[in-house]
Parts: sequence; C-alpha cells; structure tokens
Amino acid sequence: MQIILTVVLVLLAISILFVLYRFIKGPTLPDRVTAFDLITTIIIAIIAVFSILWDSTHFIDVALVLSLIAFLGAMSFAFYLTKRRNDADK
Amino acid sequence: MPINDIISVILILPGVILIGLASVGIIRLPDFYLRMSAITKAATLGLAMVLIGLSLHFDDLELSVKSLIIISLVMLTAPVGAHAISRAAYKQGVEFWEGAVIDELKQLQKQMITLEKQLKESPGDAELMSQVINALMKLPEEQGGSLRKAEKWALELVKINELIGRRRLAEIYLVGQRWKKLEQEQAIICELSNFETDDVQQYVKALVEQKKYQKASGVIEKALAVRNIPQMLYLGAKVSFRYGVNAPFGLECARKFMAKHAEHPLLPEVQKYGHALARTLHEKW
Repeated sequence: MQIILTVVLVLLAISILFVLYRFIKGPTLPDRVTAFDLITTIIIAIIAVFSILWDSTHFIDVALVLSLIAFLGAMSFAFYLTKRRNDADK
Repeated sequence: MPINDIISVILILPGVILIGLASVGIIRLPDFYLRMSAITKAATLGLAMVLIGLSLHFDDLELSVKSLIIISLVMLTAPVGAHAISRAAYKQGVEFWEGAVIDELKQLQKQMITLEKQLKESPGDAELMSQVINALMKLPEEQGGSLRKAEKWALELVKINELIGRRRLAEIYLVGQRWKKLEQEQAIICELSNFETDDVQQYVKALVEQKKYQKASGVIEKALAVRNIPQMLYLGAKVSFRYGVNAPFGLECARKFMAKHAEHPLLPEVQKYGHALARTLHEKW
C-alpha cells in the first residue's frame, strides 16, 4: 500500500509540473486560468492520497473548501475576462 | 492487505492515471479549447475515482459524505466554469487551431459582409435585404449584429414592398421588446394583409404578452368580420377562455365553430373552451 501510494504521489507531482509548464508559458490568459483550475484539482487528489498515507481524516475539509474556491476563482476570472474586453472597446 | 484497500488502490491508480493524462493533454493539445475539454473531462473523472477510493479505504461515514459532496460539487461546477471561461475566451478572440473545421459565428459574419457588398452593388433587391436583416438579427452585438441597422434596412424594405417590410419590422421590434412600436406596426400589417391568419396570430400573441387581453379579443372580433374561418373562431374562444375576458364573445365563437365546422380537428379543444365559458356565464351549452 505504502509503495503504491508513494508512486501515485510521484505521478501527481509530475503532472503538476506539466501543468505548471502551461501555466508559465501561456500563451493566453484563459490558458493560465484553466491550468490553475487543473492545479487545484490535482492538489485535491494529493490531499486525498496524503490522508490515506498519514491515516488522518482531517484534511478532507481542506479539499472541500479548495474545490469551492476553485469554482469561484474560475467564475470570477471569466467575469473579469469579459469585462476587460468590454472596457477595451470603450 | 485487506480487501477494501485492494479495491481502493484499484480505484485510485486509474484515477491518478486519468489526472496524469489530463495534464499531458494540457501541454500537448494545440489550442485553448481542446485543452479545456481535456481538463474538464479527464480530471473530473480522475478526481472522483480517487475520492471514492479514499472513502473506501477509511470506511467512515462522515468522510464518505464529505468526499461525496466534493465529487458532486466538482461534477457540477467544472462544466459551468469551463463553459464560462471558454465563452469569455471566444469573446476575447482567442485563436482556434488551424485544423479546426467549423466556426459558425465567423461564417455568419463573413456571410453578412458579402451580403452587404452585394446589396451595395444592386440596391433595391428585396430578397437580399431580407437576408441581411436576418443575419443582423442573428449575430450577437460583439460580432457586428445590430437591431438598429436591421431596423434601418427594414424601413428601406418598406419602401419597396410594404407588407413584407412591415412584417420584418414587427419581428425586429419583437426581439428588441419595443412594444409600442410593435403594436402600431402590427395594426398596420393586419390592415394591409386584410387580417391574414398568421398576422392576426402574431398580433394577438404580442398583445397577450403585454397582458392586453381585452384588446386582443377586440382584434379577433375585427378579424372575424373580414374572414370567417375556423382558426379565427378557435382563437377567439381560446383567448376568452385562457385570460377570462369577453366571455360572451368567446362563447359565441365556440358555438359558431360547433355549428359550422363539426369535422375540424380542433373541435375537442373548442368544445372544452365552450363548455367552461358557458359555465362561467351560467348558460346552457
């Protein structure tokens, strides 16, 4: 179990690195927003795996809050993107 | 290793692989919209599998409920957020991949530009004008659609072919919700087309939308004086029944319908309306 979970953590860490590459490279702002969204999803998965490794159920609350904040962040970024375009028109 | 651990590992491993695939997708796929689809599908399913694996491992009710809440939240919010961001990106003009096959909005825009060019070359073509008005009404404002422009063209069209032009004008006012102008226009249309069934139906619909039921009933009465056809009688009975106005007129319509058009497919409905109207007036049906 321990070994498998460690492998899983390594896999998740590598995928965060992949997503970070897109986050840094862009090329557009929506790309960065979606990359950030995926990072949050991966962090929730990491929290889940860590709670099994450390045999503790307290971290799941953090994951719950994080999933809510990810959605709020995505929506506010979408709002900001449309707003910014309209302002540029004026 | 206990059995529930085995099952949770069987769930967690594919889930993590799905998340990994999503992250490979986000660096490999060629444009923003494709990347978007990669992360919303693969990552959501992967996360759900990891969380189910977690709750199987602990076998704890509180934790299972919490992870179920997370799963349902993610499954509800991921598509909504993805849609919002894609929409914002499209409006901002984020480029499509060159292999993308279809961009309907852009096609419509191009079509409108060519139509306008053609119209400049041959002014006074009623068919072309009609198409330009259609395109202007369909396009969103960011892509060059404009009700004002459409109205201008429709006013031009009125000079060439009054009836068709005014019908288009009424459509534009309906979309723009300019009720006063719509009412004026529709009154003129009904006069012009001598109360054609479709025009009367549109007029009554617009009046009902504004809650002017009395006037709607009056229009039908006027139309009946010109055209005594079953649709009009049906409409009269329906408006009286649905909105509770002018019940004697509705009842009369229903009776006439029954007497003259006993074979008509709308008969059962008219019968229902007539029955209810007769009951409110305390008359025999």
